[in-house]
Amino acid sequence: MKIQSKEPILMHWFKSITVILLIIITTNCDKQPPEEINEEEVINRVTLVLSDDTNQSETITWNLGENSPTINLSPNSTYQATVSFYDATDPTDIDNITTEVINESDEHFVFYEVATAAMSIASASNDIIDTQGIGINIKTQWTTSSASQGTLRIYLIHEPSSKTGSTRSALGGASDVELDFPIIIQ
Amino acid sequence: MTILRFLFPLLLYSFLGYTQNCDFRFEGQVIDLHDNLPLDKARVYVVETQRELTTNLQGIFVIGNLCDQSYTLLIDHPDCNPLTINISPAFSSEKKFYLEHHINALEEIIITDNKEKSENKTGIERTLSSDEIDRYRSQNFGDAMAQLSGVSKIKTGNNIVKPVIHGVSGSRISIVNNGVRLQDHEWGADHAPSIDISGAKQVQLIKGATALRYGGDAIGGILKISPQKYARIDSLMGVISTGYQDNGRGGFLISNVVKTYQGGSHLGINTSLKKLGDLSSPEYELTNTGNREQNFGLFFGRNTITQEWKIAYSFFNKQVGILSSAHLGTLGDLARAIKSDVPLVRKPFSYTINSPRQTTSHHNITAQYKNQNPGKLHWEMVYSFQSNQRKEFDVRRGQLSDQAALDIQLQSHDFQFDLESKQAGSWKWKAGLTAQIQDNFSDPDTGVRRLIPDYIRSKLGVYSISEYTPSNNFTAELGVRYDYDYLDAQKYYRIDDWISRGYDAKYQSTIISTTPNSNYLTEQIKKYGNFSGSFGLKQYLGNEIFAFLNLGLITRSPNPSELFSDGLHHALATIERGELSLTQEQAFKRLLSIEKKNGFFKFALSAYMTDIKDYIFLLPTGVDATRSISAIVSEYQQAPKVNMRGFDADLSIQFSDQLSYKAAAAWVEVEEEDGTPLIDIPPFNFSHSLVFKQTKKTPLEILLTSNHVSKQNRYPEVNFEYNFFENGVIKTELIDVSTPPDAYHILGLEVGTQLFNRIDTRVVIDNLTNVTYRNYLNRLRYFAAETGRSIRVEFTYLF
Repeated sequence: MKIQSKEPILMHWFKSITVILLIIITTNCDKQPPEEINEEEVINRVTLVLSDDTNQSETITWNLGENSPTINLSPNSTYQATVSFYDATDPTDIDNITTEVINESDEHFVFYEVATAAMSIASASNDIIDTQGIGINIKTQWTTSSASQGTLRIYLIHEPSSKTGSTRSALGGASDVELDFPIIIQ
Repeated sequence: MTILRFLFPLLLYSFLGYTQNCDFRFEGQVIDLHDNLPLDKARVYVVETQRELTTNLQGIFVIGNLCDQSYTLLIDHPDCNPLTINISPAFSSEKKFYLEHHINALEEIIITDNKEKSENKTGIERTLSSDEIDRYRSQNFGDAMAQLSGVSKIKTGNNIVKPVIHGVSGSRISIVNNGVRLQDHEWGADHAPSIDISGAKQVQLIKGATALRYGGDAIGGILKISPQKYARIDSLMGVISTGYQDNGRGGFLISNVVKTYQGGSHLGINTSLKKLGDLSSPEYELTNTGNREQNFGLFFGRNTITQEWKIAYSFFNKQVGILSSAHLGTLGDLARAIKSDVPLVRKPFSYTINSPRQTTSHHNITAQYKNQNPGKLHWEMVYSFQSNQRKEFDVRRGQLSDQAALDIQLQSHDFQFDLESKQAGSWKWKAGLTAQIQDNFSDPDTGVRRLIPDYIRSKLGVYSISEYTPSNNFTAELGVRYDYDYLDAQKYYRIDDWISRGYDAKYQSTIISTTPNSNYLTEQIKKYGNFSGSFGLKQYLGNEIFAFLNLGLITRSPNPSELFSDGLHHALATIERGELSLTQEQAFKRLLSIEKKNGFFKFALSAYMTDIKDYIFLLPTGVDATRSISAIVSEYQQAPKVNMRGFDADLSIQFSDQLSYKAAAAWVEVEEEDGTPLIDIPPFNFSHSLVFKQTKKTPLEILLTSNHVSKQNRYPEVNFEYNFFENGVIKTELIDVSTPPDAYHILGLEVGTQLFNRIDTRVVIDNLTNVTYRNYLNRLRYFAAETGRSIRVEFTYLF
């Protein structure tokens, strides 16, 4: 049976804990303000450059927070369309995200869906081709027929599980962009 | 067992007078050294006269007809180290004998009358014994906890599992590991607590909110994980366990080794490694659901009878894959995923963990000292440092692919001091002080707005609990606690958000500066003073049945995620937003329980009602379609009043030495004052099991379990509409994200035996009949079914 003196241990504990707490308090008090984060990879501008047979071109632009502009097309025509994605958070330094999409063409796919408007969209001959030989629809050819109106939806798909499906579900992956544009063919 | 000599004669009663030579009478009382309670059924053997006696309920034994000589007494109790002592009845006729009752405390089975283990006397407790912990050794914490009645789990996939007690989780429950509250799991359902239970010896669930020692804000209850305590013997003991699981094609290796010394020192090392590849549901692979875990622990301590100290370090490290098909960009992706019966991404089995994924690492250093001198105040001090780092990786482009989208580091310093009176008598008290400093840092290199801002939080709490036990049949307990909570956060707000949320008028003074990128840098200082209290009664009703009544007043201040969250959860296409104006929530919980702990038929029934004022919850408020990716916006809000009611029931029957049956059921209902049910409330569940256990000859254990989970029929409607493009036409459909999945019933089978007399071998089959089902409390239920049949083989070598 041995009863030790508790005092030294107790004092030691109190001391060390006080010291630790003091260190923490003093080091925390002069904290720098947190660094501002520049959000990266935000797509807040999408443009479509449409040129018709006569090489007349028109640029349609959507910006974050705005309603999508209407796309006006003529019946029985073909158009060359180029889609681009931008991070325009800083107006003095607009980042063209399309470049990264093209650099990682295997992991990206642009997909179009059209409702009610009489038109079809296919990969253009000068489209960006991935390593599997599939055009990723950055550059497309639009063919209109009769006068009609409807909606065009553009998806930018990241890491699609397939690039050959005809519906959005069949392509898998996650949509980085999903935008609707009203279309009028007249 | 080594015979130790512990004798602390506190009271030497006066010499009663000299009479006849062999007419002396000696009265002794055997007392538990640690809590001053009498020990009954202790065996007292008088060597010289070869007489044997046992102590009565008061721990008293009386020896008559003693002569004027010295006698040797051997005092022995099944749970204690024996004691040898000499007495001279001629000089003293009464004596108290203190036995160390520790060994009992340490063998973990729920023994009746296990006084010193209960955290509070008037609260109902459920315990996960070491046997049950062993069974879940290789599983994650949340799954193991769900074995306790009243505990369910909320999950994000199958690897991120957190416990839900009485319908609440996160900051509303407290998880106490090794004496220290775990600081890491308060940031939403997709952040699981970082605990490895393979080194734990006991888990206690304290229902109700009466364990004020660990905080006054745990509306649901407390989960307390305790390590093993070690006997004072020279020994090397340990366990090595390994196993393989077919679903996930992986396994684990766990080893715990402890060296103990007779002087009370002990030194131990725990390591555990776990690895699983993609899991599979009955019909398809669950792509990217693998996980890895590496845990390490080291501890050193000394346990003398009157003092105990311990220093422990533990490291928890986990990498978890999130189901690939849960990676969504837009609301449309969510709509398509819900519409599809099978996950949209299904790839062949792989061990690789791709993005989206999470990595968590948690360091914990704890130093504790306990002083338990008999008859005096017992006191205890604990200091702990926790560092929790959490990274979440999303599917990103280019150089950002390897950059985490979320990277938070939370450091907490906790200090706790407890004082406890151990005097004999009907009044006892406990009091203590807790102090905490937390520093949260969100790494700006992510290139994503901080979900949780940088902050410093300090808390100071004091509590006191008094206990009145006039007889063995009745105990009353009253506790009070006050916490001061100070939070200082520095956060950037987008100016347009700031204005649209109406902060410009109310919080203008918090703006420090305006940045060129249209952000305000603000400093948010929040101070809360929280008062909590508890009152409990325990009454013996006869026939081994006890009744418990608990009243708890719980005050909880809003946590940083509720106040400040600001970001996109890719997995659910949800933007989560905190709210600066949140105030404390206050709950009043009433819990009534009846329990029979002994005999062949045991049961525990608890019913509870909780009213919560200003309940903080996340409510989907609409769809943000102005982005290139549309998403559901969820905002933290306060409901003026929320009512919860529920019950838990446990029952167990021991039919014979070999055969036993256990059943547990839990039901809870939570609604706002106007009757709107709250989201994510566990549905009714009922589980039961039949155990055949043979210990003689060849040990054999067969366990058949059955678990029924009903459909949750009370839920709020949070559906949204989406325009699908189908064969050239737009079709608007209502996307049902509200309706809970159907009821399900799963079976499990477990067979255990011993090979070569040394190696415990167990075959465990989960989801025996390979049922396809979805779980309402799994956030990824929209995308895939739960895991299918899983067969696990485990080998454990104990030494």
